[in-house]
Amino acid sequence: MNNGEVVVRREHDTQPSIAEREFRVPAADVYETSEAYILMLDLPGATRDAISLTLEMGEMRVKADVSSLHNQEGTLLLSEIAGSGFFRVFSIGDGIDTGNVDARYEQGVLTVKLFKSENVKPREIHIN
Amino acid sequence: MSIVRWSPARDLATFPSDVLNIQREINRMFNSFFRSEQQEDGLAMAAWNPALDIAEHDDEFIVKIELPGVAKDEVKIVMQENTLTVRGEKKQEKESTGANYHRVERSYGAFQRSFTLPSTVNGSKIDAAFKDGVLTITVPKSDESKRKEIEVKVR
Repeated sequence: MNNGEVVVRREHDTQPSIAEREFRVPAADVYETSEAYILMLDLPGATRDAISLTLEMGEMRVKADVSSLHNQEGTLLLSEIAGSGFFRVFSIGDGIDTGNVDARYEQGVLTVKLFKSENVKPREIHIN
Repeated sequence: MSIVRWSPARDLATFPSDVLNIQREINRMFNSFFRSEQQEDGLAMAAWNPALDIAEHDDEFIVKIELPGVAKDEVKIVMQENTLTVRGEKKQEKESTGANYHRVERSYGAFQRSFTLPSTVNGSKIDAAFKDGVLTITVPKSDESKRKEIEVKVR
């Protein structure tokens, strides 16, 4: 908090803002291995090009557009697939090597591998 | 015309008009609780219900189901009379088992969705495509049901 200005800090993966309310929060699995954190997000209906993944100021933002999924004529008899896209923010800790992130997209699932920085990786120290 | 998903609580909502419904629901709850797993019907065994859209077009029905992370070989589509059933299983990725999980929100396990299409369909010409985790099933209408406009001559 500098110069009396309130720094609004987003909580861990907060709900989207009003402008982004038409976006759904995608379901995510997060797990940790000795070398990385792995995030898996369900983004069904999104093409690879419609997904944006940004890492900035300790936040990782995932946004995907699936509006083309609803572009169909005809009468909807049943409509359970909601929203025009997905949006979610994750806060990223200091122990992440932001220069070493691996992302792949397969069958509607985005897998992001955030590698840990060298100094937080568990290391076995050899005793002489 | 709309397809409505069965909800066990719907009968309870009509409470004053039919008190017997409550007794029936409670009996059903007890019966299903004490039944062995083999006797369970397909719907009760499903671990999750994937979301779906059904759209009716002039000559076909298009069904879209969200199945992210489900392998093509793990999905089975069965058409019986006018009832289309989609069932399958999403298996947990092998590489991730044994890892230290922070959160698990995605659905795993068996799923099943079943619905009756409103008019006669041509079951032999069903087409299904899997793209980006969405299964799209195209069910063409039969030739008889396509002829919707019947001209009636006034004498």
